[in-house]
Amino acid sequence: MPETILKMTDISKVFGGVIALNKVQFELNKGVVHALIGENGAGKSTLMKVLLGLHRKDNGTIVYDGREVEFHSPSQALQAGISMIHQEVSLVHKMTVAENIWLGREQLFSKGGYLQVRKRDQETRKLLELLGIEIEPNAVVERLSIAQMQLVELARAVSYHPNIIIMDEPTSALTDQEVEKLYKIIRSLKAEGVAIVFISHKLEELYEICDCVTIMRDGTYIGTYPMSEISNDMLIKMITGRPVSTLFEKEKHELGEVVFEVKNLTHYGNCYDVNFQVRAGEVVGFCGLMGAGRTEILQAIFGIDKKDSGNVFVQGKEVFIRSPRDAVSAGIGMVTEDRLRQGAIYTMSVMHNATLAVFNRLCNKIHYNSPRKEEKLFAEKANDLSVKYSSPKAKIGELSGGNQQKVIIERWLLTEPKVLLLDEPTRGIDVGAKSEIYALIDRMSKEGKAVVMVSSEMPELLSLCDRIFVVHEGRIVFECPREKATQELLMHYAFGLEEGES
Amino acid sequence: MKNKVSGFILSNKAAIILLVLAAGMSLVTPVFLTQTNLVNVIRQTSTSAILACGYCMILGAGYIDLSVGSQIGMMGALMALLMRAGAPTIVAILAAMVFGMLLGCMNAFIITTFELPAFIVTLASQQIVRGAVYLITGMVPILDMNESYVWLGQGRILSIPVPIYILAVVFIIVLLIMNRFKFGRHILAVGGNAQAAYVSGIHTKAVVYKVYMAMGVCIAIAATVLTGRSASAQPSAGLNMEMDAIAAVVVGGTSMAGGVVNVPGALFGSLIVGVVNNAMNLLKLDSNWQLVAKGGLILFAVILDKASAKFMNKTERASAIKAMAASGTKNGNSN
Repeated sequence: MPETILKMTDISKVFGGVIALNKVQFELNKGVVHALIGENGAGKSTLMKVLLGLHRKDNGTIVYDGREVEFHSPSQALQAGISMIHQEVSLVHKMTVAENIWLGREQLFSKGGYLQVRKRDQETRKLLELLGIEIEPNAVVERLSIAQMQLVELARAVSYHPNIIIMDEPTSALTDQEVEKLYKIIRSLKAEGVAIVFISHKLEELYEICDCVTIMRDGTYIGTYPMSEISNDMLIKMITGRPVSTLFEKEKHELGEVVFEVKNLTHYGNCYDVNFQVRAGEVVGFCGLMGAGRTEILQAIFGIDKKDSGNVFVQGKEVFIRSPRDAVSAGIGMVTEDRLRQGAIYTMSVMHNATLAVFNRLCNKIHYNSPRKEEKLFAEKANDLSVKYSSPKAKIGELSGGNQQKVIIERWLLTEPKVLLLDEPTRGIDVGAKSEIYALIDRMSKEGKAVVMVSSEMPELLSLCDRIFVVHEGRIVFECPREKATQELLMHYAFGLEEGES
Repeated sequence: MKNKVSGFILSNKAAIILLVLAAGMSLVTPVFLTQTNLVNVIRQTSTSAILACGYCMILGAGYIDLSVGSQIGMMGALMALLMRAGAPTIVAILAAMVFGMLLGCMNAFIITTFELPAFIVTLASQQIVRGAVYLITGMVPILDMNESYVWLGQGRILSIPVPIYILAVVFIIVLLIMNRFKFGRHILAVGGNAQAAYVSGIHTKAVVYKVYMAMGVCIAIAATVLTGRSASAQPSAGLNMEMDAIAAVVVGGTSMAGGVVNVPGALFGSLIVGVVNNAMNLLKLDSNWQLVAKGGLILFAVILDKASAKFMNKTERASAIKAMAASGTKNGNSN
């Protein structure tokens, strides 16, 4: 009989007007690696944040180690034995590995207020050796690779001797070798009775390392199954709520002339010597690992980052882009990756967000804007994109993520761009809105726009793009038409492997 | 329904506070509600209210200007000196406006070029400008004023003081800028999310320059009203005036974090501060109590602001939870 360490029952959570979790169940046993999967925005992270006390639950009970608990902060959860490794590295970059691992617990190594640095470093070395991680305790974190940083985070989590470790996409930035190392660590933790929550998008690795899986979709609980009793296809069906094949079916259409061309684009430290062309009606995809430089390429093109060299041509004419303003007037639009920081303006209404980029042109010679004209323009396009909003004056934050994204896309479509750059256009939005955005991208390409999109979701690229580029360490390392592209082939290059190697 | 009513009250709280305050005052002293006193209150408020209009733009963009009071003193002295040298009124005022824009430009230049917080930069320029005023005037009031200039502060048209007309014009212009013109929309975008505004093709630096320059013009106008009314340029004129104006704007519902502007609210806020001052005078309270009361008022306003935002959020969540419960039972039935 396995011993239950954590039982979450009927957990609900509402943000603003959006239901993030709806009566979700989650049960975790000791010594088990338990996968938690679902699409972006399905509520996995929210559920874990509720557990850690980062969010307060609106409903439901959490029973941990036999007692009902409600943590008010992650540090409280950590004291109780629950530790989490976040997807985004949360280390202090200017500090050393040892300083980071024992951050907040300096009293362990201090004597009368004096910090015994050597003792701490020794302890750190012991810990790292135990885990088989080859990093110096006094290395400064910012010098490490992202993979190494994630291993340091893991070491920190282990150093608390927790009962539960939550790993949020721990393998996303790791090479195969490092993944193996991680699995080894996970197996030894498991043998010690530690329960592990493994959040991942990569289904193959679930079969390799996990014992059972809980599936979530759109904030609801779908089910929990032993890994051995569930097939890949069944999993995908439960994650997406539809059979595997219908992600999006692209119809072939004729491509036009080259509308967009980038030559020798370099932005030191981010991307090097990037060359590509996009024809009218073509959708070109960029894939690669987290931090490979895909976003940076788009940001350098659009003038958000200042490129060091390179030329950009729109319809055969060179355009000089020093800021997004220049890009907009050259007929380029860009939906940025980070909707919170670079996209939506949450103090503004839905309508004002949508008309932001076209506002210059909307105003007359003395910069006067007629509200009626603006409303008409907004409503027509919003209707066209089937944006759901209660009133044009409603704040954009009241909309769901998918509708917010549609408003941002409308912002750019209103400027009638010839080229559209889309950076992770479906990140963090629900399944329904996703397929609508896919249809939208397809329609834009049919209207003869050149579309460049970056995505971390491989199936998305494979079903939408005419051509796919693979980016590795800031360079385009591989180009392939959609007919020949497979997930394995693209990942092969994304990991920086040469031809024939594997 | 109940939520709608409370929502209306919360979004018009400045006007409602003003009404309550006025009603209370008229009960306590009958003098308050006389026409003379009311006109007096508005006239005394006009300088601060004109500045409040300028602050709507600056705070709306997410910036602040603490050098306003010093600049008032500077503009007054400048105009007085020009008039002493024989300049016509209109030339003096235009010169002050140009100079105001220039000072605004300098503030904006330092803030944007060196990426410094506006708070620190304008705190420094507050000291610099005030020092300059003292140096220029030699700490002595300048009394030579053109008659037409004094009329702008003291005169009446149809028995209503001229400053009230001036305030009305400034108010309407700023209201139009914020609601109907490109500049206003860009202010709100920069204040709401400067990075998103930049990515959308807005020249965010230019917007910062423009709000400080617009403030410069407002300062020149406010200085004209103030200096004209007292018919003398005092070296200490405008001392702490920025605080009254900022308080008024915030009480009116404009967010200090930027992106949310309520121009009519700023007017009501100014009148609240004006009524509080007036009430203290009528009740013959020690003038030092006015400071205490004003500080208390600011605290009250911002706490109310925060609380009302929380309240709105709560009602929204409550309706969402209700919807969730309803959909839950629906699912239950279908099973």
